Amino acid sequence: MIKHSQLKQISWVIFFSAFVIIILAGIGFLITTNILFLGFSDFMYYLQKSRTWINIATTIWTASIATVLSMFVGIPVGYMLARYKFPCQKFMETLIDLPVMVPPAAVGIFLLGLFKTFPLSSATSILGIKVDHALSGVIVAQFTVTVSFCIRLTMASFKTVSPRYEYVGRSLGASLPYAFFKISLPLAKNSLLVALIIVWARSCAEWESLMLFVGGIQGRTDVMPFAVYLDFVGGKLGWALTTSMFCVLIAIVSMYAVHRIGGKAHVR
Amino acid sequence: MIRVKNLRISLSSFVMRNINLEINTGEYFILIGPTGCGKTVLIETLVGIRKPDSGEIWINNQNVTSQFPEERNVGYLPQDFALFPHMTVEENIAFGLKARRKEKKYIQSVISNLAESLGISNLLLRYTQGLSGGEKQRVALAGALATEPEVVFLDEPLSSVDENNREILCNELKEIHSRFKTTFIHVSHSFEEVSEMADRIAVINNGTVEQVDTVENIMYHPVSKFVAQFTRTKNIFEGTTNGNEILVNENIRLTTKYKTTGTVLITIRQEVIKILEESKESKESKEGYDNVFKGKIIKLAKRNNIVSIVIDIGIPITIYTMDYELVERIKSKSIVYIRIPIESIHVINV
Repeated sequence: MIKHSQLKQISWVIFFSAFVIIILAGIGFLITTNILFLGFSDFMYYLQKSRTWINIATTIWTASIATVLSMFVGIPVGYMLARYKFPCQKFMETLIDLPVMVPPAAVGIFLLGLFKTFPLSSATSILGIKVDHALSGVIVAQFTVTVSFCIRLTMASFKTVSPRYEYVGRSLGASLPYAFFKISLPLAKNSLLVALIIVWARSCAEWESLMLFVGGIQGRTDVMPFAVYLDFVGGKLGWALTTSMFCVLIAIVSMYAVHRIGGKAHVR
Repeated sequence: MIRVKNLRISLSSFVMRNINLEINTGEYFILIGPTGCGKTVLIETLVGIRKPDSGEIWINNQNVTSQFPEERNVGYLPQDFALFPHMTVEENIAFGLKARRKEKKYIQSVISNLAESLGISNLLLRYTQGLSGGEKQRVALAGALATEPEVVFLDEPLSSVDENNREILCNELKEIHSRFKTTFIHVSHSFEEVSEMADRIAVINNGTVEQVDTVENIMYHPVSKFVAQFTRTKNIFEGTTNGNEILVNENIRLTTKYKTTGTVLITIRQEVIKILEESKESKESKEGYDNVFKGKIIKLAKRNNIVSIVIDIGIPITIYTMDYELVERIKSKSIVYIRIPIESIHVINV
């Protein structure tokens, strides 16, 4: 015989589960309807086209370079913000957060202004670096949008590691860099890996700033989100849908990796 | 020797001031005080994690005030020992030596000697998760002792240990200290926990050092009401004196060895007050013993093998005894006699 309290508890579980099912069904519905709309034969046709794979490869390598650059800057800045207190810290954090809060399109416009004026305009022309309508511009845009995001994530990663480990290490004779590389970095490894994946996935998804800063030229700067837009505007809906499927696939693989790694305390 | 001179440390709204300490080489020194009194702040400053506003810290005739922790040659064991979870026990012990770029051969010999000495040879290849409290303590000490530090700082190392294991770990700490003869500075908030381990104790209250002395002197000759209360002295009374007699509560006259005038605070340790049995009582009174009082038992409780008896002699006097036979004999009586030895009455000028 089920008691009244047990019945109440079961009804609550059903009530909450219903929302989870609605969300999962919604996502499943969204993907399957689009696959059906596209059709399996069309999907296979687009898969055989080299342009699809060039877009995927371009996205992966530009996002990877942007992620490496973001982590290269994000790790020391995130560590500083997590460990030390200094004057104007809140103001500095606000400035760092700006690219997260400002629309990516506005970031693109600002980048355009930055590279069209002195000193960067002169520096790029002297060094022969071309950012508009070039993949180097894609990397700059991806980096600019994701770096503050990266700093936030690395800061949170270092905050998960108690500073006492470093204190002990330093009292044992380790210099600050030695303690950082041998203690803090390995202990924050999992969270940093999660940060890296999220930043990479975000870089893969960036396009608004690219559109304004770099400009889209098919076959040159069309990373996946850009290709989706260009194909849609050009009326190639099937191609746009196929590329979108890969965007979803990248997001699913990334988030799965985040959940798998994020659940572990640390990596030995 | 470690010398701390006029140290001042400030944290947003909390200030530690006039900290002066002299700790002898090889001493087991304990910094004790209630939660929030500044013990951890002080130890972190001595380790080099915090910078003081002013004052000096000297370790073996070297002014280390402006030095980084890695330059001070100290060992530091925080609460829960903070063993590196991504390293094996062996790697934990070797960490300080590797940081100091010692030769592999030397590192191996230090590890094996320490592991054998501390009984952790069987743990060397294990990771630190899953080690017991005692094993963690020994591994952390091995890591700290491997670099042959001038002093080892222990910040409440027993705080995360359960009641049953605390005594075992206390004994182990004391034993390791006497074997390695390194200076230990141990922070604790519990007087009972560390009173048997300490060579000397510094009692800290609200950012200042109230008293530095041996355990016995701190217990029997506290310099303030706070120290008396912190060391669990149960009998603390205010009185007036003119000479060597103190009047407490207008009707109790206590004879002391001190000669002073005015308002005073008196402290009497509960372990030294004697309960007189009837036959002895008359004899002791006749022989002119001072401070013999007649009173009524108002409370009797047994805790941790000690019987606590509260007797009202006009003021409530608490007595601790382990003489269970005596307790059995007197517990049915409503009136008993007690004697407060003259030398056990400590007077603090208010």
